[in-house]
Amino acid sequence: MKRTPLSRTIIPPLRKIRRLNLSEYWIAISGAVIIIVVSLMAILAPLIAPYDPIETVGDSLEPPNTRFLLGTDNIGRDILSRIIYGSRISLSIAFLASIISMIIGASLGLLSGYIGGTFDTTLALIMDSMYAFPSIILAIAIAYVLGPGILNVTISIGIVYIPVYFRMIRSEVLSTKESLYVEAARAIGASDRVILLKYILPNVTASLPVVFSLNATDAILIEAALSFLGLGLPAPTPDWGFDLKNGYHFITAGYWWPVTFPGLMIIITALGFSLLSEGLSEILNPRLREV
Amino acid sequence: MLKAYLIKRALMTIPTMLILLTIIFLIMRVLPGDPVAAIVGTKAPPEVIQSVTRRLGLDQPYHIQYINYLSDLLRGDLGRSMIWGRRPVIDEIMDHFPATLELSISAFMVSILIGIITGTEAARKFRSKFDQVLRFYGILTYSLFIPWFGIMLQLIFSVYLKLLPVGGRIDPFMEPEKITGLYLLDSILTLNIPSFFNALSHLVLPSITLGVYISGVFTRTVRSNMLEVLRKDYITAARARGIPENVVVYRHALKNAFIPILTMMGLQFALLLAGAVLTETTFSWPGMGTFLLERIMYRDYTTVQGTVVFIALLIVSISLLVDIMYAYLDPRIRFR
Repeated sequence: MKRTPLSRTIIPPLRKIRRLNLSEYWIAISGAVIIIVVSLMAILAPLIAPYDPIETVGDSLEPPNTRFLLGTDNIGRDILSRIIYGSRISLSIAFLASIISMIIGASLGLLSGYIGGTFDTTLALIMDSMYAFPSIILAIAIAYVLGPGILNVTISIGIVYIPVYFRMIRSEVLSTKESLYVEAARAIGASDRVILLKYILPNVTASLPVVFSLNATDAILIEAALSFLGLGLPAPTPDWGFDLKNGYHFITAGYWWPVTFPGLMIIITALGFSLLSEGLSEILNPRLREV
Repeated sequence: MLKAYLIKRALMTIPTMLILLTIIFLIMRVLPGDPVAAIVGTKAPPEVIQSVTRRLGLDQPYHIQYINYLSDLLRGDLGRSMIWGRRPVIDEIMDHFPATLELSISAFMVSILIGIITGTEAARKFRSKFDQVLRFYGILTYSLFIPWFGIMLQLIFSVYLKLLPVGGRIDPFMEPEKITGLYLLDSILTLNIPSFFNALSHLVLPSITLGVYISGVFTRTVRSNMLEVLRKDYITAARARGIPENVVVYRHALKNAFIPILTMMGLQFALLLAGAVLTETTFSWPGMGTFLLERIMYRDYTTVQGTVVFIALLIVSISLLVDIMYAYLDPRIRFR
């Protein structure tokens, strides 16, 4: 049998990486750019916002003009400033909620897949049932019971995404568990803890970034939806979903600016995260490109 | 074989349903929120709080509450509303369910239409610029914030162009005689033409909003299924026989890609319902979503719980129905 020279087995993947030029990454990059811009807006809000977001600074419902670039809302607050400050609420809730779901979902998935047996079957059934339920309705129910407030909204959004991480990590664990290196580790007497954390964990987390940014997309949308439905944050906190609902009362009179801009921000930010997720999944799993 | 599969599949819904009901119970009763405060407010006098607590059975220990809750549901009793004549919750839901059903069906048709055309064309022009654009469309619809999209449609078509109504389901006094509760169907059955067009004009914008929202998922599903089918030998054979390309794609290929597509679409029902809640509130569509939110605002605790339970039931039964349909359509499933 002709042996493949070592160089041949190593070089193809390298060549493949070099061949991936920026244009193939455009999806991930454009997503990342959007997220960075919105994050900068949130961090630098006090420096770049022209006015105080909760202060009446102009007349009611002034159309976009040179003083108020995006116009004012019904009580004369500057919409641009509210949008800039709104990014703080939206991003922090999205990040925090996604981290909560990731930690809980991933650890449950890890344990469930590793332990197996009845514990695993039961937990998987519970997670599958939760997964089948529309996340927004679950979030509405939880937010309703917990009452309004930043923390409660974050918890509601955090809970609904747990099954997604659970399912992903668990299925990875189930296949990794059977691999030779895990068996080898067990043979040399490694403890369960060591096997889980040192051997299995690093091998099941490859898709986490993809799921995380998809989670952030949904978190942004659910947060905006809860605020739009009146289950989010109390006034006068600058919040995109809340501002959209507030401006909604005036659309029949033709006031387009109080609704257009906050809504655009919601979609652009959500789009940033979903582009990133899509791009990352393509980079991490090149096989997807063939399909 | 089929019968055995169906029985097994139907039995599997029992644990799922039980788990969902338990989750709802945990959320509504055990989560550190105060349902009584949610009903009467935190400043209510203690005797009011006590009487409401007793009326809801919340003074009992959790396991008794849980048993009562399940046994009530088993008898089909969703409780009574806490406001306005204390009607049974199930009656109130049934008043609003047809509106949601009508919206869902028409949005589903919109999304199937968009999904099949865009998905098929994307598969035909695999990896072209057009394919890339449609891929972006898929990502964009995933990030679409329904209320904003709906409001933009309202601004353009209702406020500025004055072509369609801003919201609602039908104009006052135009309702057709109730047979199914679906206005379009009822007005056809009673030959009520003005009602039909009135209802249709109200239905257009919400259906487009919800339809576009789900269509992205369908574009992807159709695309990947069509890609697979278009590579098959019988497609090459059909082309070789000189059958026009459009016929090959839309007859031969689509027909064979249709079963998995249909199943995938059936599984998107949860997404459809989630979208319906937001679409309904945006368009003041008097369906279950609007109803749920309205009762949340009125702190009608039993109705909120009942509606969520009803939605859970709906989802479990639809997924069962989709699986049964699939088993009939695709014999391979039965032998799994």
